[in-house]
Amino acid sequence: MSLADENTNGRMAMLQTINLRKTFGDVVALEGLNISVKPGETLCLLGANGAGKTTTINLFLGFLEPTSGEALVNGRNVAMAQIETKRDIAYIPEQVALYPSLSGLENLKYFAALAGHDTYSDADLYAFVDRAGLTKDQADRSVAGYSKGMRQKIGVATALAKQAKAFLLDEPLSGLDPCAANEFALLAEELRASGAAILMATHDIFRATELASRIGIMKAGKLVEELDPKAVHSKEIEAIYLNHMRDDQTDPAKGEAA
Amino acid sequence: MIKAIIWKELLQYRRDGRILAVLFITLALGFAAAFNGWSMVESQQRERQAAVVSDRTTWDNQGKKNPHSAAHFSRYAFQPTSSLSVFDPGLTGFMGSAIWLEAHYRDPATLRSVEDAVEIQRFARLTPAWILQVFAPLLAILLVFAGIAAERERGTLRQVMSSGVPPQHLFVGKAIAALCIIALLAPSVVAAVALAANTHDEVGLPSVGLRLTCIVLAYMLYIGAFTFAAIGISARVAKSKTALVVLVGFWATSVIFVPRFATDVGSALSPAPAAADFEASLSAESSTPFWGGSEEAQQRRANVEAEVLERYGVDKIEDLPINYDGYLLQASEEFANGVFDRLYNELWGAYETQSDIVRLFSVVSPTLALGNISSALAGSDLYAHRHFADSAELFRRDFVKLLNEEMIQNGGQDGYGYMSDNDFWQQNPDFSYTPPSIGAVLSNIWVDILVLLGWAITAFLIASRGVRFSFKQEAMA
Repeated sequence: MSLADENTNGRMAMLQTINLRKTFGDVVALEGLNISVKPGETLCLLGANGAGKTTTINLFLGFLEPTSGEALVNGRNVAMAQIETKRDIAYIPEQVALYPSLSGLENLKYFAALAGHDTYSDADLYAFVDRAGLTKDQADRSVAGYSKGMRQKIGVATALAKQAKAFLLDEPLSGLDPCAANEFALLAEELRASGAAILMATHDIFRATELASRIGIMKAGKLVEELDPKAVHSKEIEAIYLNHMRDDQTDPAKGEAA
Repeated sequence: MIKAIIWKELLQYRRDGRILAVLFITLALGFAAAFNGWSMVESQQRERQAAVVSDRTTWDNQGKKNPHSAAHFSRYAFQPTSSLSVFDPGLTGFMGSAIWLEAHYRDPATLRSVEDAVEIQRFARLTPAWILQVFAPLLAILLVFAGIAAERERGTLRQVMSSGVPPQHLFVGKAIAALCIIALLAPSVVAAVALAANTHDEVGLPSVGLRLTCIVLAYMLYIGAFTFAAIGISARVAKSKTALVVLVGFWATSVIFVPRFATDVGSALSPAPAAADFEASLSAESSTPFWGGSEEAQQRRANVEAEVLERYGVDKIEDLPINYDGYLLQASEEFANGVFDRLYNELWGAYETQSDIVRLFSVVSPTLALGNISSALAGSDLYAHRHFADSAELFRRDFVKLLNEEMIQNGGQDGYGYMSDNDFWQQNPDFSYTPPSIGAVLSNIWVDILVLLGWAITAFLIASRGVRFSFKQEAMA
């Protein structure tokens, strides 16, 4: 039994939503969403643009306030404890934004300090960079010349430095070349295996079946299907997903969502 | 967290060649201005000292002369140049620095150094105060115009927000970092103060230390106001380029154009008489109505004669125990003093109305409020000049009276033939001047202080709310 399995069994959810609802005016972005991600689990949310994946992540980050329901991080309601819950979360967006006049290491040092970890030595920071897959020389270079993959690695190093318990990954593989995407997938798996709870929003069904402990299919703000990739063959998952997407395209009453 | 934000901002500034260039140029200008100010003040103080000695020596050694002739030979009151004029010369050079103290006439101040200056020097004098009033806000804008807008443009604001940074911390961190950079201009101010301490200010402004402290606080409020406003605008607009255009436009308007415009409006709405006209009025209204040949003038002199004959109980001037010519001269002085009071009050009133009109514009230009505070505390504003001119006038009246009394009491029937000698001249007092206290100065500029404080508080609120707004906008994006 792996550490992740030990963590998962009988542990409370690190990320959880309870009847979460979010509307923007008349537009329903999320409707009664109930998901949970325990330590050592990766939940991949699949869905078309506007299905509510990013809205879910924004609610966990406290960027948005729920219309009703709750988003919980480590048992704490995000809306009630925005600063505290952010300490447990690492967020890696599709485009990891960095300061171009700073080196990778300086960016890492800055974001780690913002998260309250301002006592790391350079050696500690280089260790995080190394774990994320960047060399010391690369870390010392200005990020102005970084590729998207290298930026993602600084994002991962920042998450590691933050010692986060939960990771929110918003389309992290989008736009990465296959090699960089593979490296990132390995890192994500390593994080999960070390006990992190990962919620990943993605369009990439192939990576989802590869990385996920569970796959949630979202449509028009609702979780319409939850699948176990170990129990369901990847071809079948793909078929189910595409079937939902086809329904979505033919549904004249589908809502627009964030 | 705030420490980390400051560290990162300073690191970015250090690597931005544009910021370093602007900082270096401003600092160099500041040093040049400090030296220029010191050179001007030092020269004026030395000239004043030499002039004071020369004036005294000439007076003491004028030899046998009728006291009234001596009153026309006269003396000068030289306005001391305050040591803090090294930092802010204010109206020094514009209002005149010497007043001729003669009988029958209240002369306006003369020796205006700007009359010898080219037009551009009148517009922009290279002084430490001017550098700080004009360039420090520009530096603040260059430092923070992209503060929030660029974070949003490049996506780092979202990363920062996800780290749990409250908006207020980001605002405070960025403001402190920018103010730290602007504080690097302090050596030029320190140089100005050190040079000011090295001038020959014989008179000495009262409470120089306290004045300096107030000046520093006022400039901190001013620079803080621009820094906060720039952060606020940066947080409200979508793009950093837009923020730059808006802020540079605001800078040009409030720092450059409004002060000039306000001065022109003030002069147009409350015109002061032309110098030649004013001097002609002084002469015509103070002298002719008493000494002229009109019936009214003759009646005035007759009244004086009647009054003095009655006082001494005699029927003829020849029987008076005093010198009647001296008595009549003193009576004419007292008549003229009323005229001077009226005309000068009108003149000062026009200037003060101009100042009040200009002050109204400080609502849209903090530079005007700061300029008033700075020059007032440096002892170089209109109030300081008026205080000196009024003191000089009081001395003139006493001095002329002293000379007339000498003629009245000791001249007997000699009339204008009575002569005094060097022994008498050498006993005559010098003009001694004490500049106004800081309390008096502050009571004149409390409106400006409130306006500047209002600017700083408003800008702080704009920035504080702006950053919160930008966080909300980003969260919704």
